[in-house]
Amino acid sequence: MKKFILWIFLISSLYSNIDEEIDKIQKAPIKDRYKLMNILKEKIVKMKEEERLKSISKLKLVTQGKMIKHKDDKKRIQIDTILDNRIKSTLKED
Amino acid sequence: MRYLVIILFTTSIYSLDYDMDGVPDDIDVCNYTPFFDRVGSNGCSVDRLTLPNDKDSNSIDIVLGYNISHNDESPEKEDIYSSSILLNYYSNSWIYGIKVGFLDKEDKNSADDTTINIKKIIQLNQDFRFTIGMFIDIPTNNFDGNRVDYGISEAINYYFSEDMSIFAGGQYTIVNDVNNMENIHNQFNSYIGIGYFVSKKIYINFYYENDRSKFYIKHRINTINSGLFYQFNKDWFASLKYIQEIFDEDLHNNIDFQIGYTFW
Repeated sequence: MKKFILWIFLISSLYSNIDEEIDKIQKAPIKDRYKLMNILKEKIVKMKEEERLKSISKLKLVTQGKMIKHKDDKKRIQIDTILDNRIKSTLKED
Repeated sequence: MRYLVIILFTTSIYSLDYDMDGVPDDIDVCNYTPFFDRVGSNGCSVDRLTLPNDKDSNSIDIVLGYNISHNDESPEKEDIYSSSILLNYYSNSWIYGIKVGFLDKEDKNSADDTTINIKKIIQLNQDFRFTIGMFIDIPTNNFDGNRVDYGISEAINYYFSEDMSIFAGGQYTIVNDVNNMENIHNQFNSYIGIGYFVSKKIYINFYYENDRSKFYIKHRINTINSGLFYQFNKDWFASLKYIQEIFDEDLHNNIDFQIGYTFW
């Protein structure tokens, strides 16, 4: 019976929108949620970037109770590396 | 508003899930699983999904820099000009850099020391980053007694909001230079500051730095630093940095301009 319910969730998730899917994941038994989440991730991967960001943002609002930070860690690391370039020679040694 | 209330209500009913893998935090063995990892029942990665147009996480940038340094202490109060080429290679959590420079001092051109560094990024969680590195200064400047120097560096960056961070760090240099006139010891500097993303394209920071010179007779150098980073487009960026020495009769200051290009 439990497997049947899970299959219903899995099949219906293919045809539902992101809000419905998040809702289904939240209502699913705890031990099954990761399977549904894995399927949702597969769908999110195939989305266009803008749609993907919106979906992750909604997901984060539900699972963490806060808005996603649209941050770019790669860019942050690059900026920190560029600005951290120590000016070692002239100022400090003359 | 209604949507937000429903969301908050739903969140309050169900357990929090920091890494959004479907396994609530209280039973999640791996709490910081990357989002695009598929997980098993314990919340740990099984495999990783790849985005269709996902670029390789490696990248290279090249940065050309120009620097003007003013020193009230020098008899001529002459400005010193220098230029540099910096190449950074980012490979996942590693950064490899090489910097070559040229000095224009008292009408004499000479190469500056060449610096090679390796840094390791340790992302402790989404907001907290620790960086540790090592570097070597190759004595390509031709002053007498110039030797290979090397050292370690460390830095922490904490983003307490989406746009704002505090950072701190230090660098310890083992100085092997030889000088017959003055005693030399190892160099150490530390800094602490705050950074702010004004927009997606503009970042500014301010920090205080304390530096122990390699010369025994010199006092510690205290500086206030400010930096500006501007992203022109996907590939081109520029930075401007100003350093002002404080708490000293003979003040030094330094302005540094860089323009860079990201290859991929």
